[in-house]
Amino acid sequence: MNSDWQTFLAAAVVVSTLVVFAVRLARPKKKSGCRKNCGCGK
Amino acid sequence: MSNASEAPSIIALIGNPNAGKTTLFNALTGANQRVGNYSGVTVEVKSGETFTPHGRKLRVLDLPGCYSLRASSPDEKVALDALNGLLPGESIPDLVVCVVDASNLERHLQLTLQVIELGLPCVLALNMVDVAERTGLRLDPAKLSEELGIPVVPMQANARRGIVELKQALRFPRPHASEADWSHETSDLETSRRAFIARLCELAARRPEAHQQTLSDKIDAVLLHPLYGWIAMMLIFFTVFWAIFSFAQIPMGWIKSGQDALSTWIGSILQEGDLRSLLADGVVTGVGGVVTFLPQIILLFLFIGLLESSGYMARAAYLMDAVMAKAGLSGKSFLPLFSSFACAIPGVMATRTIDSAKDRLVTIFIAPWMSCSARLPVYFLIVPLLLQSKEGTWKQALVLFGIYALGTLSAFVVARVLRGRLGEDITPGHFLLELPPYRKPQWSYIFRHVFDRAMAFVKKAGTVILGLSILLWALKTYPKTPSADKADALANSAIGHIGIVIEPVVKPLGFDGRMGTAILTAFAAREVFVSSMSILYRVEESDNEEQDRSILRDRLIESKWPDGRPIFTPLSLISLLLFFMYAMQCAATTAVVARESGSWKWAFWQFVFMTGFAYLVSLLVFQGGKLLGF
Amino acid sequence: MSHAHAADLEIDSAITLNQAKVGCDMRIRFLSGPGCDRLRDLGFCEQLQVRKIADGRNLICSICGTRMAISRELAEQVIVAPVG
Repeated sequence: MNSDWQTFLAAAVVVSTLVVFAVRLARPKKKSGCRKNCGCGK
Repeated sequence: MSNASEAPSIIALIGNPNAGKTTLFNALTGANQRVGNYSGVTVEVKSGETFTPHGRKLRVLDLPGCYSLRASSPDEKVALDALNGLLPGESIPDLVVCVVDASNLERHLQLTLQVIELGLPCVLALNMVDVAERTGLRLDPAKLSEELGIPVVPMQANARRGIVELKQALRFPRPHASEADWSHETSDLETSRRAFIARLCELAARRPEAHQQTLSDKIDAVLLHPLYGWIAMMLIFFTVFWAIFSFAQIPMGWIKSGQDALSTWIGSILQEGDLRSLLADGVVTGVGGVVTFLPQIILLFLFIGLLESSGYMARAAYLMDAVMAKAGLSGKSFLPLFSSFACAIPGVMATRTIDSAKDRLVTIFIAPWMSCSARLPVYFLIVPLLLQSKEGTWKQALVLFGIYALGTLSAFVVARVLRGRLGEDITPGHFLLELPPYRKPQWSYIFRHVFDRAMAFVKKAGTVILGLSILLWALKTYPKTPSADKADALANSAIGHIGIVIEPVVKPLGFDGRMGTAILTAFAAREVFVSSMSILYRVEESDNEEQDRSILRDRLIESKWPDGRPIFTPLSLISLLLFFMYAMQCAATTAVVARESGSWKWAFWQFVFMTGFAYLVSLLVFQGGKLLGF
Repeated sequence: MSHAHAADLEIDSAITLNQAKVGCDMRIRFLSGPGCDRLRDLGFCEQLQVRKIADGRNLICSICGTRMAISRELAEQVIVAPVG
């Protein structure tokens, strides 16, 4: 387990997390869709 | 009429709150149900599946409990929409089961008649026949069925009696919709309904007229007494709090051990490197910080479920109404605010039971000031420092109590002012609460409830906090420096640079750059404050959390400003405590507030107001204290 | 309200739920005020018997075997008269 490999992977995880957050922030409407209670379960 | 279609038929359950609708739903669907996250007290539409005796699948919808279809509250609106097929993704139900409390037909049949008038096929689930029998009611289900024009199934859902008969009534061929014969009697529909119900109850549900004193009444003579009731309530809630905090210690210890074992395992399979650091320090520590509070949250929900199921919560809401009124709110805000002492997220969601929209918004706004359990590690770090003693003395408990009291008091003051500024409701909602008879708690219902909310908490907070832990790790790690010293590396990282920028901002509050940085990291999650402080003040994390904090405290006392004065004077500590009490530092809560209030603006202003307030208070206290010579 | 006439004749013996004495059985004559609908939905209907169990900021009543807590404002809208 080479240290460089770890560095690369860790950086990749950070970037993906940023992307996920950015996407979620950009479309809050899609998230659960219900401000009021909507039909069944999730 | 109906060929056995592919899609399962939809059955909707409707009824007054306290009619046993949810018990019936659970009995029908068992494990096959999907629940929404963080439900308030059955205010959502749950869906599940059940099977007829012939093996046909049915989908069951548990509609919110409501008293009528007038749609004067959000619950009623949802129920009405569901019956009209207006719920997103749902069509009109094929059949409606009206669940009524057999000992309360005069009141519960109102809703049933309204549903029948909609023209939907109905079945009447005459629940709680045991209670009816005990109160001396004489029921005639056959007569009821004849007059209403729909099948009537006597049952006792909590003992699973009558379920099979109910399923029989649900199979093909479906019952026809009733003719609603009463609607033609007089010109006013409501009057006709009432007259019909009165007649029907005379015929088929005779009750002894005289008021009878029940065991519940005798208990209430104490529990609702203006003086004894209050004493009892204080005792009950203190016991609950004490139990939560002490019983939770054991599982919290297990979780911490698990966390350490996990870190060690990661350390054993990965060499030193970024990924190992990310996983062990970032993810395990960050997410572990959330999971650590799970035992307390579970216990809190357990006790709340117990109090609710036994019927006591209604009494507490009644007693608290007077106090809540001083805050401009009603007794219904009590439970959500009480839950917020564990965690504001389920507390905010529990506000769905509040009818008044403006009361609801205000309750949501002040919920974060009910000191949540995430602030506890911070309090446990700072308070002993303030009192210059070890953890666990009674003086500490007193200070902690004072902190909670101050937070709650401030919240009430803000609530009053805010509520006044929002003005009257369009339709003023007045206090109106049913006091159900005391009954044995239903454990299966409570356990399911607790499990659902715990899972939802873990999922929600875990995903957000997982992401934030990763980002936090990134801020602490990049840009890198070749130095092996952890504190140096931290100082040169992004977050260290931020700390330097921040120092002039926090210095007037009595904090230095390292504290400022730690406070910043705490905006991701309050628990992170202690870990950040440990790193910044060069404490190696060991297995013993208490010991770590003790070492950290020693370091803090020793740290000094460049000019030699100690940084952590009692005044600066108080300033820090106040800041944490008041600042809004929980992204997950902000997200939930935005969703529940329906407005990002509300969440935004909550953040701005609370954090700004925290800053101002710390500033005033620190600078004022200095002026006075502390 | 369609029954205003009949109720007028009995108005002398009728009082609001607030004024009623604790522990006496009363019968609801009529409701008047903005909260009527809500009250009826919850079971406070004309002709039903009600007994006040406790006074205070919010009253506790027993109606059809159920205990209900209602605010003074709402109780003001319920007009009752003694039974019998």
